[in-house]
Amino acid sequence: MIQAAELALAMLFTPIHILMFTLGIVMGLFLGVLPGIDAVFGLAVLLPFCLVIDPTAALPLILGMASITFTSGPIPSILIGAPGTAGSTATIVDGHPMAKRGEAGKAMGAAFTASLIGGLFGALVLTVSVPIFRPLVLMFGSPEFLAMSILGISLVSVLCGGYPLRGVVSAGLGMLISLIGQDPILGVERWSFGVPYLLQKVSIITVALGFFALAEIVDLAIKRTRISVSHSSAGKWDGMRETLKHKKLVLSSSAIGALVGFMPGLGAAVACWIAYAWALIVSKPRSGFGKGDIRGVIAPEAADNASVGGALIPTIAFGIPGGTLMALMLSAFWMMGMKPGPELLTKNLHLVYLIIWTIALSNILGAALCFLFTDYVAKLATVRIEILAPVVIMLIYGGGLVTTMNIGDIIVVVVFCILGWGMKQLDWPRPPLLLGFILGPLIERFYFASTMVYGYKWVTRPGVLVIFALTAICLWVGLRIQRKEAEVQSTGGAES
Amino acid sequence: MKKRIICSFVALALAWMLPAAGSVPGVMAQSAAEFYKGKTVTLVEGFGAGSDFDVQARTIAPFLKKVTGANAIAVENKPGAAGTIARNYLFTAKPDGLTIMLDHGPRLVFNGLLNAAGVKYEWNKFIWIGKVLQEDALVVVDKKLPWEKPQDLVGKTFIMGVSRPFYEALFAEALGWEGIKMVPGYQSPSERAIAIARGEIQASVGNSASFVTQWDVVKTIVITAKHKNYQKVPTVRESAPKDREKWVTTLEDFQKIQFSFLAPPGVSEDQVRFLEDCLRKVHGDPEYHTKVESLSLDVNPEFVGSKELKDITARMSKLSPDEIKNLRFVIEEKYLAKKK
Repeated sequence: MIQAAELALAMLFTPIHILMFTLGIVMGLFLGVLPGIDAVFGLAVLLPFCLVIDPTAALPLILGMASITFTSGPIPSILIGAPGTAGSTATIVDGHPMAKRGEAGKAMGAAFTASLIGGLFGALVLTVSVPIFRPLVLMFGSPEFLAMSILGISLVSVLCGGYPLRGVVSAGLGMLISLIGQDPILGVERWSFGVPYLLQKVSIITVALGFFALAEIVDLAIKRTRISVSHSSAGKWDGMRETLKHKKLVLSSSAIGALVGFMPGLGAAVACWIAYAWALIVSKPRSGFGKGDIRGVIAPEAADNASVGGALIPTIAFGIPGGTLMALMLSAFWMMGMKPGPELLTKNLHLVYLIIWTIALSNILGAALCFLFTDYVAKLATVRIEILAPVVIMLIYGGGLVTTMNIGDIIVVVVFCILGWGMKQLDWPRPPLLLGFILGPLIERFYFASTMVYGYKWVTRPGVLVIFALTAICLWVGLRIQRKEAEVQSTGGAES
Repeated sequence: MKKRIICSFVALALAWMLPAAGSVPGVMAQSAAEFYKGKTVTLVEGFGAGSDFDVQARTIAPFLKKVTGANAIAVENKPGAAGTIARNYLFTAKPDGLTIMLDHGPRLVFNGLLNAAGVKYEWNKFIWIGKVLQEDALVVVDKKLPWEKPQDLVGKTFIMGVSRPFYEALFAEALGWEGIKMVPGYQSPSERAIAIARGEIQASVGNSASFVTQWDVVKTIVITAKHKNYQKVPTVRESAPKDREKWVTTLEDFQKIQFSFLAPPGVSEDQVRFLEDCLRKVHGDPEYHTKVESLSLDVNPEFVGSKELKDITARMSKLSPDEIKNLRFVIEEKYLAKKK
């Protein structure tokens, strides 16, 4: 095993691999910064090259690119409230208010440091679990995944910002919207009204771009103001110090990210919200959340990057993709002639370590590069809205359109912009809608599989009982938070 | 003198015209070849980047470019609604021979027969060009179970994990597996293999490459057609009871049209013939074989041409409304597990 790790490290430092790795890093850095364009897009672009490049050269390219988008992803989330990647949607909630306060540099410093630690944590989890990959994956079945999805949706109790009823309605609306398209069992048409575009599931990125980013820009344009009128002296190094001060939160959020990433279907988009809710549960005082609390940036960013390592476990061990990104990664492996499973874990173990080294190094390099440019990027928050809005709106539409290149994507962005802006004005919590939207299809899928196979006995499985106990704790803590929030209602919601 | 000149002209004209008249198809093929030279051909696939279809389209594209003389074969992903969006697009594409598609085939026909949600095409108007790759469906079961041949599953109750039911039900109907319960939601063969290892389900359907890394967990019970890597595995036709032959044919027919190349309605015959000929040449290219094998795929032992594909789909277009209703019932309802 150690020999394989050494061989992989030596391979990574040959000229061709350094070149491919650098290419991947530059590409990932650029893609992460563009709103809505993430590693999925980058990998789709790079896939054809996997057919012609040697696997040991292609791996640093695609993994370097994919890993670093998770690090640069929070930049647009913080600056303009537009998610750079699906895993940085939760960062908007506190990151963007920090930017409005003139603390964009501090927020980004915290995000990059948390991303770095999270990414390294994910790589470490991947390393130590190599010998136990298979038993680990076998521990979790459909009932456990269903229970985990229910735990996710129970977080609405934490995320509803003092309005429990509004939170539940918002999450329910998100789940209903997620049902649009063909049902996963027989492909029955649901609320698509014969429109072919609506037969497919609407992308989370497209929804988030309209719901948060465009709604935010519209709001700024109406108010004729800029993101931030002042530029605080609190910079990236303060952000870094704050992150290092919250060691426990960073590590526990990283663990959440790795665990959730490991569960097929959940991925970074869910991990960041669970980690955000976790930060709300364990932090005191909580009154700053939603208004620019740095802990609301640290937790989701650590989880986001850690989820990559976690998601690679089922991908490498069994060829089960943890999400869209891992499904593409799997195709890339396939094109390179790498067969996930026992063969990869025995005969080609050096390739597994090449993956691990690449993730670790790209996280370090990514964080360093992002740090380097933070001060310049942070100043964008003070640009006048008349100049900023046209550019950002163009990027938002571009990011939305990239998903399917269908005009329907633009319509979705606009519709969700109206919904998001309306909810913001009326003080309705928006995160529960997004959580419901992400988890709705997962709950449906695992519910059918669990009840068809086990009947209602699925609830008695030990793993399920443990997760349900956690859900109960979550609900209880959530209710306590809501009660306290209600007492200080005048301060408003956790986010709107 | 004048007469001699006229005779010479007539002789020259005949000499020029006769060989041409005797080889009209050759001339047409020549013109199609000329037409494609330097053009860009769009190869559409409907399942998105990284899908089987995307990989196969990108694998064949450089080889097709070589034989067509085209400037480029541009693979275009048009994902959504399990290929329906791409099929709708192809159906209304300009019939200039420059847009073709690599498609699932069975889904195109089945959704067309049922006029399923979102279908905006007439399935029997597409032009089938040819098929290069071998795509055999096979059934695997838990290695720990005592079942060795398809007949061992008759009368047994077992759960088969599926992504969305299709071949599973046709296997069950052809082989008389009345005790099968299909549970949807297991999206990939690997996911189903792990569910088998966990004891959650007992069986799954995949293709010849689906379970190559999972032989410690599953074993193959039956396959749709003889395959070099599964020589000892019986075929459905060898194993099915005589009174189920109709369903064996249905299963085989669907299997034969999977991963076919299609053109939109209205493409000229000579262009279709030229494209078919090009696919045939790729099928015989050893370099293409090597590339395909590196992806754990197989080139079909015989090239399946336009006529054979057309014959199969012609059989399907003759199904009566009652037969279509029954086909839908078998595939989508009959074996679906009920919630306990």
